[in-house]
Amino acid sequence: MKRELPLFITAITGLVIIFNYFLPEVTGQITEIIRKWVIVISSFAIILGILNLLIISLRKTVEPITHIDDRIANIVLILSLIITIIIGMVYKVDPNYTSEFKLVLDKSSVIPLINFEVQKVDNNVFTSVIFYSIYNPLSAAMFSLLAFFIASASYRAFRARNMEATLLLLAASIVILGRVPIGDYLFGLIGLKISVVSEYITAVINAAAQRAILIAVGIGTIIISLKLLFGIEKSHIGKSE
Amino acid sequence: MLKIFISMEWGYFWYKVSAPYIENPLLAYSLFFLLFISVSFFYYLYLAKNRKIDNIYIRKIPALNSIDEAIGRSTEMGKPILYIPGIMDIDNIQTLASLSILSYVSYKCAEYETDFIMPVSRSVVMTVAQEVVKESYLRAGRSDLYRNDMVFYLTDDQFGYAAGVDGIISREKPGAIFLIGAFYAESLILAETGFSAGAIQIAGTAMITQLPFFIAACDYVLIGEELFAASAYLSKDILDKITLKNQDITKALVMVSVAIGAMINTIYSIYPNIANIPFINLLHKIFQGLLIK
Repeated sequence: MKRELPLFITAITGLVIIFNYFLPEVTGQITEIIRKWVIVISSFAIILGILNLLIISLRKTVEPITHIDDRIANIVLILSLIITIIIGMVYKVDPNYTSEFKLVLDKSSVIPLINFEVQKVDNNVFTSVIFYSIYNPLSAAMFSLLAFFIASASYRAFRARNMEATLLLLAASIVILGRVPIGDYLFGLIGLKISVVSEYITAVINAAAQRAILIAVGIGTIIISLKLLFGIEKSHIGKSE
Repeated sequence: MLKIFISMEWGYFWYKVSAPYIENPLLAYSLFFLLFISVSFFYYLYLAKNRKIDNIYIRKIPALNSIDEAIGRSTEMGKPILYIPGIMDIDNIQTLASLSILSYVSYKCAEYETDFIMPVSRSVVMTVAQEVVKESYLRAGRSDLYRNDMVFYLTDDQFGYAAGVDGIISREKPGAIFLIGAFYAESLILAETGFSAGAIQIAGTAMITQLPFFIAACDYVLIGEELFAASAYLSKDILDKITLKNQDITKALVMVSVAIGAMINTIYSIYPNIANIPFINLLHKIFQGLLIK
């Protein structure tokens, strides 16, 4: 029964959602109810997640075998969690709050530039301190790491170790040069417009390969969904062999 | 009178049912493909259940063959295994596919007595993953090794999660890292940190934009559909494996459709008069609808 009931619920709800895609007029209302349930269940699950995080972090903080670095990280985590919850409860979040700054394409300049446009910020402590001064800079710092990681990963990927890697290096070089003005200038000296070659690589060769992967992914998604709906795939509810 | 009423009700019902198809004819193509896949799915299931097919040939997938090697290496080095199921919730099919692989990985960890760490970014995924890992340890006969804190929640925030996992990689120095599921911009942040920690990395995702990052930074990668084929590949059950056959048949249908569609539309663009032949005209109309505009 522990396995049969989840399988039964999966099959029924899954079939209703599929029917809704093809017959929206027939199963529309039931689908709407199911979607609302999903939101409610997910909200309760967040509480479960926070409790799990708190318990594990507290245990790691008091356990004598925990390394000092780990202990400090856990103390910071617990304090941040508690402080954010308290400030959030006292000051509340502005429902109109979206984000503080957004990227805007500045078309007025000769070369298109991406600028940061600061939006009007709500002045309460929760949004201005927790989000604007702590959360956003930390997230941006993590995201900015990508620039360095892309450089190091590209260096390793572009090493011409074999035929495939050499082709990759060649294609990448053409695409990079085709995207900068100096590429067209340099190759223009030998009568070649490298931006056109670059465009061909991305719009034809790359797009064809991507579509092939996407079609296969789509088919794989349908097959695995059918396996889940009809109880052939049981790993997610504990599979016994 | 009743008959007229019933026929009117049915007429209204059919009008409501067919309205989305008149509005968007592409929906009919989706329905056709879904029906084709479903029929072939049940046909192969029938064959497998009645022992008409005992075994099928599956090409080697290096990323899946290397799972044992990665866990073995970690065991020899006395280092833990880190499993990341992506950052999407349980309603994402890639997360579900990842949980199937998790079942195998955690089973092997239990067998080899290797420490297992799994930080997750969604609380529903955490509860499901806890069950999967617990069940795997039980199946391996090593329930004594299972701890509740093996699978734990970190945060729903994308970069908060990436920072947390990076911290775990730096502190714990895992011997093997599995990055299997749906990833976005954090994919390279995680993979590069894992690389710098010297871990053997096996990645798998169906996110087209993240695949190049994984290919550059990881040792083995499950590309696209291989992620969905993984559970069938790792399973010993013929009912699981037979779905790969179904997948291949559908791919063949798509390939034939693409080839015929490209041919018909190319010929039509060169010789428009060919549309006067009724059969060619019908084919052209069918495949014209499949073109993405």
